[in-house]
Amino acid sequence: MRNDEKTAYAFLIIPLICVGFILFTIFYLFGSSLSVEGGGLGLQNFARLFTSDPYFWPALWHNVFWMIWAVLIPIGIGLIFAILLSRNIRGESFFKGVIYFPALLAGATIGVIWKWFYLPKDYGVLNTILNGLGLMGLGNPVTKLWINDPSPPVPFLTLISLPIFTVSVLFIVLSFKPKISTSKLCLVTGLIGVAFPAGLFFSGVVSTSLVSILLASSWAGSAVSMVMFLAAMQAIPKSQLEAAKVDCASEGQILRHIVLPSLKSVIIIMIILSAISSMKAFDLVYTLAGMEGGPGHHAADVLALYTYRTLKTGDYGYASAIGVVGILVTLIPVILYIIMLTRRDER
Amino acid sequence: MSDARATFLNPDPGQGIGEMLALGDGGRAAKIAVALIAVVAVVAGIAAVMLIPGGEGPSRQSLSVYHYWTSGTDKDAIDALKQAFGENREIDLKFSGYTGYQDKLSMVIDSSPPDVAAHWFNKYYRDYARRGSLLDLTGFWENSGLSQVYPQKIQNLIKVDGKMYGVPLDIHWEGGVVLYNLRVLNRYGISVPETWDGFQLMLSELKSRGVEHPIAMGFADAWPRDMVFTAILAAVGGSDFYQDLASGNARWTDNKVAEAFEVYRDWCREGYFDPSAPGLDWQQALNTFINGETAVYFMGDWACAALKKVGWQPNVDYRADFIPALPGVTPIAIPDLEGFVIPAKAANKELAMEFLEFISDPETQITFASIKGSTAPHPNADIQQYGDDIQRAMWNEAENRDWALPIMWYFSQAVRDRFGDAMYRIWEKPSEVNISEICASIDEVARG
Repeated sequence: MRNDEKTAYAFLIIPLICVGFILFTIFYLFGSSLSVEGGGLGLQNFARLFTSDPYFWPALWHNVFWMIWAVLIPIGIGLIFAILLSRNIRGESFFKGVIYFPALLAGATIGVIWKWFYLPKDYGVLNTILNGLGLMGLGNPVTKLWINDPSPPVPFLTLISLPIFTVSVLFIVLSFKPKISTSKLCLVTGLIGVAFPAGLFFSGVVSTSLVSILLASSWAGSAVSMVMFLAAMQAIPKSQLEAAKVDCASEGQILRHIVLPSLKSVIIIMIILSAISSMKAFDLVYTLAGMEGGPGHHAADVLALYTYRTLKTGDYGYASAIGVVGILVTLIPVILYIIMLTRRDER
Repeated sequence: MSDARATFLNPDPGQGIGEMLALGDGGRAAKIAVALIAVVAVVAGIAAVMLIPGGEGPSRQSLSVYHYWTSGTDKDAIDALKQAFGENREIDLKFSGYTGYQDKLSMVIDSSPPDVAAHWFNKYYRDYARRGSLLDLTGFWENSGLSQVYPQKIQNLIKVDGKMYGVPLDIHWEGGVVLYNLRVLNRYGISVPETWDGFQLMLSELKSRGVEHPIAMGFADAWPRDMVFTAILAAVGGSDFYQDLASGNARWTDNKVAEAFEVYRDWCREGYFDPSAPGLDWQQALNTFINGETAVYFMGDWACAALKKVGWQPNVDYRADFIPALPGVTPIAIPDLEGFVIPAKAANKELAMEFLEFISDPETQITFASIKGSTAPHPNADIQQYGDDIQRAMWNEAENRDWALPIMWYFSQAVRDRFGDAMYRIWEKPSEVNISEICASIDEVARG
């Protein structure tokens, strides 16, 4: 081996040591999850987790719903902002700064801000605004609680979320250049965008508490998405846009046939990264809903918070088992991401 | 393979690292930057090594104290304690206050603990003691005479398997305490009830007179909700059953527990509680009391300090008392007993012991309690010197009762979780819950 090659490989020692530490902790976690009371190894922790734990499945479904929300809502809102702010409007820099500001905040800080926003009675900003608009009686009689309301999401929240779900699905589908008319496309995505989340909202899996927290998380998530999409839009060749204008293409046609398809790879990356980060949700839930993850059956509980709560009881094996399940679920979008990267490299 | 990767692994024979990394003449700025980074890294490393404390541990001149009194009169009280202990002592005192204290302490108690830690004498305390995380202070109690001074009922709350692991500092009357809003009661000509039936009548009278939700409650945190049940259990179960349940000699499926849940369910069904309760913390719930929206509050006597701060006068604007018990039931007093412990791995045990001697002094306890609004547990700490009429009345009453800790302090987090779910289910749908099923569910977890 030449000296230069030896030197090159020598630079890999430190990264390999770091990877070794990380692998050690992961294997330790797996080993700990298999440890049982009285010593020895076994699957009792997993058996208990999947068959008799009343908090595990709700927490897991909450994370899955968080993944769906994190993939669609912030991306949809971010795309809308990016499209609007790419049109050279007056005050563009100001709006970009204001919209991006939440992305600079730590999750716990966002939680504290929104906690004040969601306070019950007339202590909270949201209730004060709704009261001022004469909307306090809207929907669910305990609308005023927000974070601490375990009932299905009020019509108010549903009405806000569904259009954004629909628009997000529409944008994502359009980026793949489907050969389908716009009207049919709108109909299909409208049905998906309304039926799917509405079904979840009324299935009992999703509560007002959880949706309130997700709105808070979308506040920062949209900001990051917007910046990514704005940067990608800068890379669209101006000649394509000018040619389209020369051919008398409308704004909608330019958006559908040029802009959105150009954003496809960024959208895919954002989807996968959002999915991965949704499984790590902890700080926002902890600061907003507390250690128990919300009232009554832990209405907004997530796996990371449940793991933390279990660790506090001293049952490290069981907590490790919850952590292992969380890792395995997170691996799904990670593997998709790696496949996507590998295919891009091969091309 | 990409061009960059190919070049890196198979460079031209004449290429050195410098050329390979494009650090030729054009890379002078990069060379300087790398050199600067290397120098900064070396200097930072040396500085870090010099700043890391040596293996001998802190000198005698330093004492670290963890506590949870982070705001209001609590903070004022611990600050006064710190100042008094630091007077005439050449020591570096590090008092650190934390919210989420139980979590914080559980993470550090076996690894990098403080020298002294404030603690409630709850299940966590007993668990720490049993697993060896706390220093055995039985000898300290003997040598300093505390075991001859403190009454047995206080020592029993601190003793774990026959040994002492903490020293008490103050008491708050927590469980079974009711605050009465005299402004509201007087408005409707209702007097403070002396009996259980009178208490029930008072609630229905208030409701019928237009006080929509007579009982203040806020359970954004779990413990205020637990206190409601503790009060009801003390009233219907009495001292004997309460202590049996706490010690495991009675079960959650016993009739008295069901009776307590039924009272709570009936109150929920009648709409006695504020529907915003799940979103309110204890201070926000107290605001509903101060605003005259509610007339009764199950809260510890520390709320009295908060009421005094807004100008309310004891026995004029408010009154605090133990909840009346059912006829024939022996009443019980439920103190929130607080004190200090020394972690087994504390670095400076000698100075920590000195601190414990300091807080055992009646005068220290009086100073602390008078600022905090609590009660000093030392028999020689004369409550006439600092307490108000309500505190004196409650102390005199409590001296004649058996004592036990808040009921949830005796149970694991798993039981508390299950209990919390039950309380919420009853609150949410009082007409639909099955109390027997709820009791059985909690009992199942309590039995392990």
